[in-house]
Amino acid sequence: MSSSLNPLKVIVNGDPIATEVSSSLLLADFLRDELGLTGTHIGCGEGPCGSCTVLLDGEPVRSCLMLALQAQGCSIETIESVGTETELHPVQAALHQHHALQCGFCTPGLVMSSVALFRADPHPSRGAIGTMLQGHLCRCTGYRNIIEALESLAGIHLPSAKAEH
Amino acid sequence: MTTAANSYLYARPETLQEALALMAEAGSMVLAGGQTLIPRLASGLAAPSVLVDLAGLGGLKQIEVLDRDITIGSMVSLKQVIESTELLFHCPLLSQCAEKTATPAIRNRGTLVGNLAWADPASQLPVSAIALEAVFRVERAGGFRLVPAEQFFRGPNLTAVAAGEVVTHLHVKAFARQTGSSVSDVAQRQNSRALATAAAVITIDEAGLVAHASLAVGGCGDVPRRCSRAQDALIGSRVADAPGIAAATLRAYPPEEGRGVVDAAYAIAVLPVLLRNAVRDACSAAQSRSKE
Repeated sequence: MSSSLNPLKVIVNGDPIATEVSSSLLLADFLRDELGLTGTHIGCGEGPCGSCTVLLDGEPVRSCLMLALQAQGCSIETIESVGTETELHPVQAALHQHHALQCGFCTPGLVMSSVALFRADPHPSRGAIGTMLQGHLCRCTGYRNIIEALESLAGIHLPSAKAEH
Repeated sequence: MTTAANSYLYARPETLQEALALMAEAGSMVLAGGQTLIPRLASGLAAPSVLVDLAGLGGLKQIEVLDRDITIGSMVSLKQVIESTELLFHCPLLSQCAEKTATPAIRNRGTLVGNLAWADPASQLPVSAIALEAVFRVERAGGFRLVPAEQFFRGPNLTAVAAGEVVTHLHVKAFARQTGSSVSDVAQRQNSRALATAAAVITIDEAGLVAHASLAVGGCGDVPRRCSRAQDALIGSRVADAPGIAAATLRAYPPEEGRGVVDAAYAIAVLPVLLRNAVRDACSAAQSRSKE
């Protein structure tokens, strides 16, 4: 069965890419299968879970709900561009410090949304963090540590119910 | 995720004329935000021969307010709706609905018109489109027609848009000074799919009585519906009495059950409460606006 091949030019994590893709190739599959950037995860394939979230021209989008071709001419950032091998991004550091990940499946998408949130406002409100988190489902953590990590990064200080370690 | 069987031609026209010419071909389908269509393409539920991506049509991404007429292009995203200070002032019901729809990343791509065209009969935007007496501009190669909201929604996920046609704009009227609105819904999780929704647009007069009411409900029946009896019952009533009158009228004359609901009996029980809340908050908003 032949599929329609279309030229695609995008920038991924700062690297210009010029290639040809099938018209039915999802952006998530392009990133994972064509470029080997498997940090972006596919959970539900329908939108709610948020695991596939990447930044498109700086905005969080669901890569499983976009065709690769829809990213024509755009700049994409994936989790692979966040932090380095020697230095965690502040969002990553906060999540690490607050034990805000376990299996890590939801984490890349969450990190991408958080990076965008903190870029727009280094001190987002509790409400803004809550709204962002509506778009990310986590099966492991129960969200509390994620919220504490992001609120501490935002400078929102709460008396903690747990003893300090 | 993608299936090899899903082969279609992808086109990204640069003019509306081009887009309409492509849409005139059999098996063509339009791609707007893609937040609903993409999973259907991946699963094969949607199987076009030509996919027409409207992303190149900048003219469809505008929100324009001219006198009392608001025109919203069909590629305007839900995020754009939320961020529009013009819509917040002139048609806050749309702003409120957009904030209640989906989640941030989906709102960055999903469009207002796309959500309406998905025509979920219980959902906030379709119900509000009825209450707002919104009009859809539907174009095809060689002409266009204007379809009022009450004729636009034909059934669950079914609209009046025919093959070869594309919604290009949504038209709504700017609110008068003494007009307020509210949408009230119930869902399993905040911002997940609404199970039942009520929307109210209410205008009050100088004496603080209801002068005009436009009420709609969804979640019970194949399409969102106007609550004509409740509207009539509200005219001339005091703002304090209006919520109770609306709820009692809807309870006395419940909407017909239909196919497009999660649980019709639940919706019938819940809708009077939602309508009461929507009327209460719309009246309160109208009072605040008239004092500004």
